[in-house]
Amino acid sequence: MPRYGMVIDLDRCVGCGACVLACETEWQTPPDTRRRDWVTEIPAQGVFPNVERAVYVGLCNHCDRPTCLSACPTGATYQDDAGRVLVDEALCIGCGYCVHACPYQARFFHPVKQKVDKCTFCAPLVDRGIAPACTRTCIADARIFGDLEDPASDVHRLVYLEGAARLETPQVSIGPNVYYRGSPAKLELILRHHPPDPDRTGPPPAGSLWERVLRPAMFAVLGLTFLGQAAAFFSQLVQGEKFGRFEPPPDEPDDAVPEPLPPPRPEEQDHAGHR
Amino acid sequence: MPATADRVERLLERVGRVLAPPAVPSRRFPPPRRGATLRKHDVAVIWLHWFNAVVWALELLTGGALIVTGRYHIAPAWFQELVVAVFGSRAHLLRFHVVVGVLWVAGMLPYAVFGFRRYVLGFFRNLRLDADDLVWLWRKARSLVSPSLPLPPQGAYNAGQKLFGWVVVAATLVIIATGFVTAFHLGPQWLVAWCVPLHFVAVAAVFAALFVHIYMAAFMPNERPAFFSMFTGRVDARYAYHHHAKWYHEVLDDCLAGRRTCDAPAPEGADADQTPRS
Amino acid sequence: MKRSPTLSRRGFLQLSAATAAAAAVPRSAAADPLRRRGRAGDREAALVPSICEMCFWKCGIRGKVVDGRLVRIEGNPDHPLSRGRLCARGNAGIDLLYDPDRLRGPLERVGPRGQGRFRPISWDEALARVGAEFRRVIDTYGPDALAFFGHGTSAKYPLSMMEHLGSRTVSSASFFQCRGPREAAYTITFGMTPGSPERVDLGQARAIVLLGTHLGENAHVSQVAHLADGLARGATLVVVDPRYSVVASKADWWLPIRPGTDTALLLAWIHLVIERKLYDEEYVVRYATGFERLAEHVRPFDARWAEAQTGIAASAIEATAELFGATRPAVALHPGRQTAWYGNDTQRARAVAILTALLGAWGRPGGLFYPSPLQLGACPCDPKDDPAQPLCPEDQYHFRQEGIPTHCIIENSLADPPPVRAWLVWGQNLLQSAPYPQRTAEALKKLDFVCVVDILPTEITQYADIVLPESTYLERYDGVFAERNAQQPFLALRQPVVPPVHDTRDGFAITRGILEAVGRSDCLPCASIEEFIGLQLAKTDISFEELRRKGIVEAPGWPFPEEPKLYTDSGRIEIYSQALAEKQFPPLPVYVPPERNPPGMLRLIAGRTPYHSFARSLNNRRLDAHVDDNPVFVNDEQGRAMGLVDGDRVELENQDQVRSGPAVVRLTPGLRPGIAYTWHGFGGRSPALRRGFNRGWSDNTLTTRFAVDPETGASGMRVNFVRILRDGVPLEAPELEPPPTAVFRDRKREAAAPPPAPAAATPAATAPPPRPPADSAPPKGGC
Repeated sequence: MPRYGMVIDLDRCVGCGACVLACETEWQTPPDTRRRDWVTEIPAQGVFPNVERAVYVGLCNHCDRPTCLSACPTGATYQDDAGRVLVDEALCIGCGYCVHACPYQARFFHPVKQKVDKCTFCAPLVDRGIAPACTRTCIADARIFGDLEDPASDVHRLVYLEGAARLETPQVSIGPNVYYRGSPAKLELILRHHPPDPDRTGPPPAGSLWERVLRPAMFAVLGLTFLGQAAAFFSQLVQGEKFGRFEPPPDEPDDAVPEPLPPPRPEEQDHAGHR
Repeated sequence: MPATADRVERLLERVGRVLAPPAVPSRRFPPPRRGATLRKHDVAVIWLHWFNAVVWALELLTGGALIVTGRYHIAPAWFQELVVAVFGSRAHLLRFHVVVGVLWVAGMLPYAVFGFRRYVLGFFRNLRLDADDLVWLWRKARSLVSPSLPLPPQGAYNAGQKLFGWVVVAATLVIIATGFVTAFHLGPQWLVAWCVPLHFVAVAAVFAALFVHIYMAAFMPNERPAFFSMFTGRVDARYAYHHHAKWYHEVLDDCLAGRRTCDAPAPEGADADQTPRS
Repeated sequence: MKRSPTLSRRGFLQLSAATAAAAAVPRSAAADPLRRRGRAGDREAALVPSICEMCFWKCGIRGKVVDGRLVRIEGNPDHPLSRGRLCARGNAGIDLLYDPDRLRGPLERVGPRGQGRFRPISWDEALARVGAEFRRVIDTYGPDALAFFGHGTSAKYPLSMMEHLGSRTVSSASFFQCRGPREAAYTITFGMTPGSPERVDLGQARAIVLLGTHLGENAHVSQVAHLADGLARGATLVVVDPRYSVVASKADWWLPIRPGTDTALLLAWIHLVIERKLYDEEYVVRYATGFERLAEHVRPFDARWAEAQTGIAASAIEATAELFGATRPAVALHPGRQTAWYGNDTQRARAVAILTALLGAWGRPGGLFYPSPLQLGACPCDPKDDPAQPLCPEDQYHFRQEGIPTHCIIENSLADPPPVRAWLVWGQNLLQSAPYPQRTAEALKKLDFVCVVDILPTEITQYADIVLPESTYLERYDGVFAERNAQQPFLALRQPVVPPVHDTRDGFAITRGILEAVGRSDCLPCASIEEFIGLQLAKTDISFEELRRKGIVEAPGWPFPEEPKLYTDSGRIEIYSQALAEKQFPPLPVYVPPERNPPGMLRLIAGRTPYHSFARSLNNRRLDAHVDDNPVFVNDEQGRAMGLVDGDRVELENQDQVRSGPAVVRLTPGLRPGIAYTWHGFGGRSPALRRGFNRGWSDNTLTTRFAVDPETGASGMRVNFVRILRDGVPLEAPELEPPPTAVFRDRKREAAAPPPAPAAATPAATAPPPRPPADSAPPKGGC
């Protein structure tokens, strides 16, 4: 089975955004939302004339240890055999927990589909032998896509022999499979300005509360209820049908029967008397 | 009887009277004769109850199997697999869950639209907690230590049932609202994010209460007339006289006053022999 | 285990390079299945090959059509230049086709001119009106009273119509506001223009020199790819630009030059190349003329002199000159494209051309290559040579091409009595492209008749009496393109991907309609564009049907002839230009120092963002979602001294007290002090373009001054100065002159160094753990 990865060549990339538009139009993502694929300009930094600028080209990293996976309640997010992190739209309920659980913010809510959307490494195209839309359209050939396991592939060479780097920090290290090669200064700029967000590795507060409080509490309540019922049932077994049994009193009115109704209250007596 | 418990009871009664003074029937009726029954539920209510029961069974089954991720899951993996095996795929499961949920609302909607007075208002009137109910709850709790304590008279539902009713009403509204918001994404992202655990909590609350509800109906001998009333619509009058005394008197009173159609309208000054009979 | 295909772009390139090498013209039939099918989402889609026109670069596209509706545009991998690549705009072309604000049918003005109130009329009515007005103007005032401004590939038909009608009052924005000076300079020097796409062999160059050519940001697809290839192969990149542009960030040498002093730098380079004998003596002796006069001419212009002029360290000028000597002839000196800057631009472009010649780079690999002699059959109405100069003084602009200068026509429309009475404006938005739009608007109001042919209701259509809507490039034929300016020449066809969405017509049909209405259609032997294409292809053995199916047919080319043929008068490279001398122009490049910034003001320089084709794409919903504003970039040190904070909202006021709309300030260290830089084309003023209206601010309204290049008449637009106002209060820009400087980065050594080691405290890139290859075979040797 292949294991797909992508290398972004920062020395070739000119930040023109062709990849983003190709992705948008290929997958019909609405123009005004976040996207599957983005190109973020990092303006020149430094002191004139000793400056550096870079372009952060981002997409889903299809990580080795994706944090989004376990944030999804319904299992709509899954990782296929080729290492691609995908969303099964039929299962997605749009809760957005995975969106919060991506330190690269590679997921977004698709307002038309009403589902979470993300880069699929163009899985439907790649499975038919067509390179991803962003890769095909890149005007500077700055995107190299292929099988990391295939020693003949360019991505394999760039990653394992030429040391293309991952966008990782000591805090967030989940094995991204989009690699960056090129000027170390540019790479450093990208890491400084767009490091993976350590606060975005799990579900949002709603999901955390559910996981940490509500779910255990539910089990506790259900458990207690069940235990109570079990105790009652046990006592019923032991005591026979006597327990809490409805015993109708003798047929005729009997003073021995507890008075079921209190006497009419004084303020209502008049009213009752009139009747 | 410890004085503190009494003081609490008096306080509860005062609070309860502010909420709702206990309804007192205008006259006292003697206990009914053996074998007499009273109509408690009409066919529509019975249908609604069992419709709910079926929906709940289906939704619990599919919903439980839908949450698969380790962080949140309820049912064990084998159960999920079992349900998925029945439905073919989890996508079908989700679709089924949503469709049944929508049918559930569709099934209940006519009651709210065409029988608002009768079913909605009537139901809520029956759920109103009054001073007697608070005292009843207090004494029920105390009866664990002193079983001989007399209980205040109860209406159509006892205070425990009323509490269950409130849980069900509130949870149903929450379940429907959150379910619709999630399934059809009605609202901003944060709302949907919160609706999922809310849905879950509401179901859990009903689920816990459902345990008691089913146990009481199916296992408790002294609630058996109530259980059967969900099939026949009728309840043993003597059972009602003892367990729902206020309701018993209200029914008779209403019958006499013509506010309620009874099987055999009781004449003025009716006694035990003229209680409605089956 | 089945090995999955490697889908890298480079793999594809290697493959197609191999096929290209093996295959003669045209490609084997096996490579061209009869019907190409693709998929759009889950649906089968027809793939229609065509040519893009989101800009003029003519990349190959394939439209995916489902049920008669275009669902996606992707690159055509068969296109020898773009090879399946497409820039942001090209990908977003679909939103031009389905733009809700498009012109949907002919319009006739109601209400005062310029207010943009129209009523829809039929094509017959519209053409009849245009014909009647044109005939009246020609009959009353002579054919030169009818002026034509054209832009775009379809403007060639009306241009030929103008010639037929006898009018010489035509002007092309792409010459007079853009390429003019370099076209003239290269024609003077080499006898031919550098072409479009420029025939610069960036891919094989060992040194690449870009003077203010923001390659990358211009998204000229194939050229960017060639540049990236050249750099990847180890070319040394020299970028001369006061701004740390995208391409400057890839440069080995960044020379942050003082604006307007490029000619000084070029003269110093020429001086050094000659002085240090770095030039190709054999080549110069064999092909060039006037070398001795040049050597004499540049003697005073040493590196010290240039340092004082340009602000670039003399050592860097010397080092780069040495670089040229070491890498010649594979030195790709880019001729530039938008070269109308300061009004002495032909001289600067001449210096570039001469340096190219000295390094022996003309007609050599890694330098500039030769066009293909690819010829197509011409329509008899095709424009012939440049018409004579009717309206401008006879002793001016002798080296202009493509008509007469824009400002000549505008001024002649405003004279009393005006020699120009009616305008036909074709795909050219003069109010956003030509300088001094206020003056243009005055002229538009004074004219007897204005007809505008366009796709969108642009600013200038608001002034039209009759608006004729043209079909977009996705709905029309545009004749066959013979791409001569490629090392692999080819024929390409722009054809309708979908039928016209609205009641629009192609340029040929509109031209024919006007000619018929004027009563002069006798010049057009073909009734339709399809017939015209048949005529074009008559000389080739390619059928229209074949071209329609394939979209592209490759042809042979000889980019680097054994013996470079020179089409100058002398038949040699004219370092010293007799032609210039005869017309009283400097025969050898002269440097004119630029005007100094008035106190407290900044020089307004406009560039571009790769997301837009200037004003043309502002209304595109997808592109607008990415870039909908043009900030004003100011040097950070200077900006802070002015009290500016990044993100401030300001206004700009130029030397003629014209104010811009609100602009957002971006302070950047990547810009030389003394400059206000922005992206051209913003500040849409046509309310009919609902999305683009008032997006950003218009640098063009501040361009009330322009310097006319005497040789060509091109309008240099970098001669305007602005003052920055915040809350209406002018902020004085302090004079800040950085010491002579240049930035050298040894990118090759940097790249060879290992990535920075991960630090515990600061985030750092981590290299992945090396994984053994899946197969046990040892990995192939390194890079």
